[in-house]
Amino acid sequence: MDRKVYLDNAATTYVSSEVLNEMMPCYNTIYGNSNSLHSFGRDADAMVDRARDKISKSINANSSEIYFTSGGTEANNWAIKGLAHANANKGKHIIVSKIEHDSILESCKELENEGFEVTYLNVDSEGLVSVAELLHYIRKDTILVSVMTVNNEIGTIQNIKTLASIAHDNGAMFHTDAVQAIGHVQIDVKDMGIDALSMSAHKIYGPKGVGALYVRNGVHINKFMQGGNQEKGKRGGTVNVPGVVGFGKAVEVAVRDIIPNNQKLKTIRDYFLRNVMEKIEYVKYNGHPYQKVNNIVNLSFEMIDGESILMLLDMEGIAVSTGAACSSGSIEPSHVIRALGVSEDVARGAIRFSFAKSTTKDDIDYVVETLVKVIAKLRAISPITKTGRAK
Amino acid sequence: MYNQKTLAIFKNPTNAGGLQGANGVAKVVDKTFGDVIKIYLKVNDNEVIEQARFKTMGSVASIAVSNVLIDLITNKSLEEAKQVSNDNILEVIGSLPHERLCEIETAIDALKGAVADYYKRKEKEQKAQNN
Repeated sequence: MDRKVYLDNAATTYVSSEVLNEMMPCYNTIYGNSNSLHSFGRDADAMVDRARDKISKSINANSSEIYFTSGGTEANNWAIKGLAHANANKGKHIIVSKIEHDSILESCKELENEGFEVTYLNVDSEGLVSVAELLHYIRKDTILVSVMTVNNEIGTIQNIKTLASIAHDNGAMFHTDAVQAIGHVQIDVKDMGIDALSMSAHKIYGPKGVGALYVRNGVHINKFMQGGNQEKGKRGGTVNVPGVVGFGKAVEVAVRDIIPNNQKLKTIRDYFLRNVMEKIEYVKYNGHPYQKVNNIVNLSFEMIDGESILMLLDMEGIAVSTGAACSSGSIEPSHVIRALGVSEDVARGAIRFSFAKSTTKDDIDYVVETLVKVIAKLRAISPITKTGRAK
Repeated sequence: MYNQKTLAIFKNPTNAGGLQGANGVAKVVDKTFGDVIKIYLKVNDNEVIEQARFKTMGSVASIAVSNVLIDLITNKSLEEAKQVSNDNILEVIGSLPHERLCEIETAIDALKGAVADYYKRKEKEQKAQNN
């Protein structure tokens, strides 16, 4: 049988059996519309409430502060535009980092077209947002600062508490895209001073098509979608009950197992990294040396192209990514890797390996063995040498 | 998305690598993506390409297109080789993602450069002989 190893878990994970088992009754037993008054509806609503409760507890929020969405992208769109529009009377300046997900950056562009002003903060060579720059650019009319907790391409963990505190000291709200953080980093919205936070289920062994936006009680946000009175009237549309229930279970499991999973992932990540660095020359590590999650490693293989590496690995049954999966149709080198200040040549050879809690050392052995061959094959036909001259 | 033909050529390029004794060589950098294609020609006294190879740093498309181009020009006269067009390559490969079509142009530019390099070397040799 052909061997398959999936190392693209930052793009999406499989749905765990625990989650799937929790969801199944919502398809054929407890299938009511959670907004209906009858018992079918009330039963479904009770399950949605339980999920909301689990999710709120996981980040130390109140359940009334959790709004379900169709995923992280919707949560990010809603947060940026909903907060900006609801608070435009206080100012029209927003600050985000240059390495945010496209759902943040594109939402900011939309706001710029409406007359908002957006400042994009640089990151250092390890992917950390510059606190000094935030202090420099924040001003009286800044209404919102948004910085992701964990970057989806390089795994760097930002100093959220510090950034949020600077935002608050200057009268601005603080939002964070925590899609890649849940289950990897402990989040406490009260302690960290987070006013709004985006989450997604399918990065943590939950179903696709469901996420949430946390909005602190007292923070003004415009409604996202016109419709019924679901989600306190802020996000109309029949609630995706199976998805929400699966999301709740996925969060519960992620938080319950955060310590053993992190230990396991660290062992796998370190084993992978050590082996690659020992066996392959001219590899650049992209990201922070220690302020990082354990499931993501981003490496640039110099003198060759990322797409070719990805496709040759795919032909051997190994799935990796050249950048954010959402932009895999895009041909530009990753905006995140470029923001680290690396050259175009190094940026184009960047590959993200992202591990699952089920990834084994045997999987890693197969991947490294294959990677050694793939890199050697592509370098043998590359006209580029380390000095940049043709062979 | 790439078609199966392109992927098969990319996986096992038969013409990849350098060429000892090449007398026409050129390297071109693609303006859009920065892919680098280098073509090596060994041309005989009758101006027929006896052997040709390529080295490419770039996408699946660049590698596959380079390989197809070498197949099309091997054992062809320089005049015939210069006539190879984008369509000739697409006839073999079938199709490419629209944004990657420019890689064909890059490969053909590298071929033109290698032919020009051959004539330049030849002229230099003749001058040396005349002196």
